[in-house]
Amino acid sequence: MRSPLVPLFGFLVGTVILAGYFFPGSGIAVIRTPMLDWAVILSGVAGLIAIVHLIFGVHWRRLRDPERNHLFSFLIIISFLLTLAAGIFFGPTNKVYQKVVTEIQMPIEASLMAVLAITLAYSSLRLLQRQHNWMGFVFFVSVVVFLLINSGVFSYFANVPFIQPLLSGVSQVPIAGARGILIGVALGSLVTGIRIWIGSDRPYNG
Amino acid sequence: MSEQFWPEWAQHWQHHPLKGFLLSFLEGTGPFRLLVGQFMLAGTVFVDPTKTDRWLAAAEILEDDDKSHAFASMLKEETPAMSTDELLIGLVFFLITAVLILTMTLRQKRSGITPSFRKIAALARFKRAVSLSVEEGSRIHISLGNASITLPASASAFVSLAALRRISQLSSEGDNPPIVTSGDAVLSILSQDTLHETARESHTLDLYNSTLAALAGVTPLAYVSGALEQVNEEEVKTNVLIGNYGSEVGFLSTAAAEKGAYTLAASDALPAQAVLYATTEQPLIGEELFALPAYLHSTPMHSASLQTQDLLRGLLVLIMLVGAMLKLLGAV
Repeated sequence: MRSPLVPLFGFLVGTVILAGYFFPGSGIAVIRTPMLDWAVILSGVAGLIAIVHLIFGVHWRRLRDPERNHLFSFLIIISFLLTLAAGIFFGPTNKVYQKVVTEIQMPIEASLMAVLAITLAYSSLRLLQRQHNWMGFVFFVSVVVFLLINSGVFSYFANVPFIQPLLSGVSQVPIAGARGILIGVALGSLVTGIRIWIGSDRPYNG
Repeated sequence: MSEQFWPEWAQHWQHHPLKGFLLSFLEGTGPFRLLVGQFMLAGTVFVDPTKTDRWLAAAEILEDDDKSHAFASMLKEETPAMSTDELLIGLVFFLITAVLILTMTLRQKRSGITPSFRKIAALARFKRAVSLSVEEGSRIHISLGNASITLPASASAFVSLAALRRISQLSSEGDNPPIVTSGDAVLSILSQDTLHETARESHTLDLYNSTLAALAGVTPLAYVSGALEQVNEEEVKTNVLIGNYGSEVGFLSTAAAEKGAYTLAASDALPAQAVLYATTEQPLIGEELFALPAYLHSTPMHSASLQTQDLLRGLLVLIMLVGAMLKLLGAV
């Protein structure tokens, strides 16, 4: 059976954090700031636990599994140990250490982004195969229209009457749509937060 | 123009051991700071020409009081303070929402009537996919996204955890429990906890092990690379991508589509929603993500919060329409 003390504790902490947000000049803010600092420290410790679990719980175990490919797990463990050792030896703020890590990470991530662009372009070509409906058609037409508008091709027709106001009006449409979606997301976040605050949703056990 | 370097500098100094010293210098040294700024301006000719812009930007911070305080605020990660009126409006809106949810929940509990919501085809199909996966002994992969619970996008993380609980309950009759990947450490620990708890409740602890839920990577692209491995696992026939992503989620959705696996996808971020619309058959758009717990496991509280959400959205639309009309008529 779940203890009622845990959600009660969560409710009290949530109330203090909220009160500190809505009444920033009050004394509650003095309690709120260290509480948020504790949350950040706990989150850092959780990061360490999760990474150790990934390396020794998941990949180490895979190395011992004869049915699995060991190469990637081996590379991950070696890379982790080398980075960790260098970080401890030189210190995480060491410029050479930071440069070496960044110069490995950045090109890899940039290459992945380049591959992503091609993957998405290929996938978009098959959009109408997946979305056999009016919304799919509208989405496809919108993509083509806004690609054309943003390419600057209409700048050649800047002297034609009504083109400029029409283009600037059409350019506002996606902003309106995005705001509509964001309002929905914000309301969803609010009600989710309230459910967790009052202990109805409990993403933790205890 | 000089402010273009501020975010980079602020990011660097926020974690620097001398941050406190710099803050004291910016906020408390007055004329001395001004003098240092002037010396810097005078010494511009001796600076490497490729770094002159940065040098001048730093000197401007020191010689201008407003800029100096603005940069100090950025350094302290202070967002511009909201006015008392704005905070009051926020508080009233928050309290109204809480009261509405509680009132509707009590009303539903008393009447025993659960409101009916519009059908979301993706969710009906997903429930069939879960049943099929239990029957044929395949596995479900649940990707919880990158949202950190200490950041504003945490709501999507909590929704993904609620969905994880329900999905693991639904699939607990099968031989293969779901596998979970996440891009945030706290989220991965909470997902392990959720899987363990569900296994305990359904008496399937023998099938549970801690490797079923793991951190796949700590940056968005590293996470997606780690999660791709699970999407490509032979026994995974259903993928659930719920949470906070960027456009990199396209790697996961495209890989799942190429493999012919069913994908239920939802995100709170606009770029990810656009990518998912183009790469999956039936993504959940906008607030449908937050309706997921109510559709997967309808309790009075979930139904009430969904009703409240709809009510408030209607109210906001009305306010915006009235505001636009008043502006058109010149009354505002």
